[in-house]
Amino acid sequence: MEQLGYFLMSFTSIKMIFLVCAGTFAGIYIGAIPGLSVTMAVSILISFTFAWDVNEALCLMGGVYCGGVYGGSRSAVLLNIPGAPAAIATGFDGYPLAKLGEAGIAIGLSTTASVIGGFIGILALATAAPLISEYSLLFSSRDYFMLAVMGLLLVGSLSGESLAKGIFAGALGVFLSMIGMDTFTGQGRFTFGSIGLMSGIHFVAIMIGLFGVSEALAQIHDLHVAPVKQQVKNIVPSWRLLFKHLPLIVKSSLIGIGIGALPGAGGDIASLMAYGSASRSVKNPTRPFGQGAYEGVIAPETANNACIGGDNIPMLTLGIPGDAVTAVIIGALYIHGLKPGPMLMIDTPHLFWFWVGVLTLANIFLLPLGLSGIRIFAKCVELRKGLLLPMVILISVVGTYGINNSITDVYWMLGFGAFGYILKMYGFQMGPVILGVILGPIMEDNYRRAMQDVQHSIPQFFWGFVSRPLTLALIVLTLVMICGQGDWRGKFKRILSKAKSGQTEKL
Amino acid sequence: MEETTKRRPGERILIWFLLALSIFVCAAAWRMPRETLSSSGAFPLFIGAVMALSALRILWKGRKVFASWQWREERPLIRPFLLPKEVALYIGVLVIYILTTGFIGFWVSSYLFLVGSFLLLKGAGPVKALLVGTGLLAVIWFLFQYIFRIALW
Repeated sequence: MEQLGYFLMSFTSIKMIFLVCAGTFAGIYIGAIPGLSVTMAVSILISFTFAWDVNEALCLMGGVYCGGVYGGSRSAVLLNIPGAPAAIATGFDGYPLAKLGEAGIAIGLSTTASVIGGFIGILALATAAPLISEYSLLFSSRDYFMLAVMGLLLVGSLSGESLAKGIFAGALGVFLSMIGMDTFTGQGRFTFGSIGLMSGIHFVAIMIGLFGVSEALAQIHDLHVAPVKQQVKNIVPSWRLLFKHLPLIVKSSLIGIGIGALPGAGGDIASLMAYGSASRSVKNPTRPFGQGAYEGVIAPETANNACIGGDNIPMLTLGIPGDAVTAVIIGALYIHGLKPGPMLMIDTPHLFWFWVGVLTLANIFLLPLGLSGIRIFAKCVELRKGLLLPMVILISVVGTYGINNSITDVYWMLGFGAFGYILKMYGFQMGPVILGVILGPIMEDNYRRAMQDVQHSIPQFFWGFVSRPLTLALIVLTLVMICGQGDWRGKFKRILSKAKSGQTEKL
Repeated sequence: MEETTKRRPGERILIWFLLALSIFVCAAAWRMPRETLSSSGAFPLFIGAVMALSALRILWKGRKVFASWQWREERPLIRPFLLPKEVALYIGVLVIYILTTGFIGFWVSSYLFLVGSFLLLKGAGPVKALLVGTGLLAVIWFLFQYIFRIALW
């Protein structure tokens, strides 16, 4: 009963309802506008909501998070430019639908599929997280160390064109997190005698620089690309169409939850996998896959929104992010004094249920907001980058200054923006850097504690990994993840091309 | 994982720089206490080594691509690839914006930055730039004063 009260807390305050609604609305547009990403938005929001009450901050961020994941599909359908990696698969059939003049029905289907998938994902989160967190209480510092290592393995799926570049970026993030005072000994590390560096570089300044300014600078390259205009009408899908695809929606939701719950796998893999599964299992699609099949929009959209619930399971119970966005959300929770991980459910169970409530409310708002405001949306998508990018930079500057009212943070943010831009131009991804910044301290602190527990005996340290069943299970899981670090997207693309050629042969 | 190295002018310089940075991290970590495996220098040393090894790996993987270019051929292509006129100019504008904030205040410098950026990036004509700049700053002032409650300098 108490849990229900916490769950419904955001439903009972006008201010919180407004914040979730505003966040979802903003998230949809941020996710949809090419050049803006939900990761960028949440990074910047952390600094804005720094001084807020934690509940209100979570309301706004939860809304932006849910809206942003969904919003990516809109630009995938209308412009064939996925607003987020999780919307890549949506464009496979969404854009052909738009070219056929059915952009409205594609947006309508993706909205309703996202909402249903989102609810199923949240249900899975509410059911599974308390069970997992009970087990996670048994974790020792060695296990936490392993969990952080598992989280860092996410660089494999975030590294883009080169795994080595991903590993470098992840290690660079860990290095950045070590600058400042050592929490164990009080000694300065990488401070070179500077008092100013003793408190380290604020991770929000790094995040805003890497995701906001560097992205804006990279976008200046494509300034001259003219915005694409689309006609959007008939947006509300019929009940008949929805009921017909309900089994596919449920199946894709389960795929999304399962993939999301795996540490290191996020919405992009879930949506590609759901698309691959649909293209193989749907016997009579409305059109061949790749040519505007409704099923090709429904499956990935359901999966990527169901993935929100799945991603939150390891994030809240183990402190391991599922993708770059959840890595940033973890940072946001830390900023507000929360510690995602096994103790979250023990120390602050009300916040867990409150967060579940916020996600539910955001999902409710997703339906009317996703099915309306098409004219405003079309204007936003067509907004010139020359107008949009200076706004992003100004908001980044203001947001960074707001962390500590310090101009030094702004200098750092701009420095990382320029450095991130250079790295990006040469194929480095920013996700692994943030992952390193967030997980680095967890990994180091627990490694050092584990070492101290065994009096620095290396044999005992390694014996601990195999002598405890729980640690052994984590080792096995880590090894499985390392083995699975192969070319997932490549594998999926091969599966998809096989499925597509299968469809063509059938025709 | 099957990886291909794209040919990008200036990449090998960046990777060599990153390798130098990694070695610098290792050297700085080496000077920290490292009597035991949990000393403050142990983990930084490990991370520095990971950075150096991955930088070496990138150099090794791309050795053929990097070697296929003469420095004389590559050098003139670096600036247009990495810092085309718009980006270089815009980075300059950003630096001037931040440096002038301390002298003329946040609101005036931000206004000039916004209007200048809109014009530079051809986002708007002069009148629209002035109007959008004013409107945006008014919205920011309202949001920060009443919603986010953050005092701007």
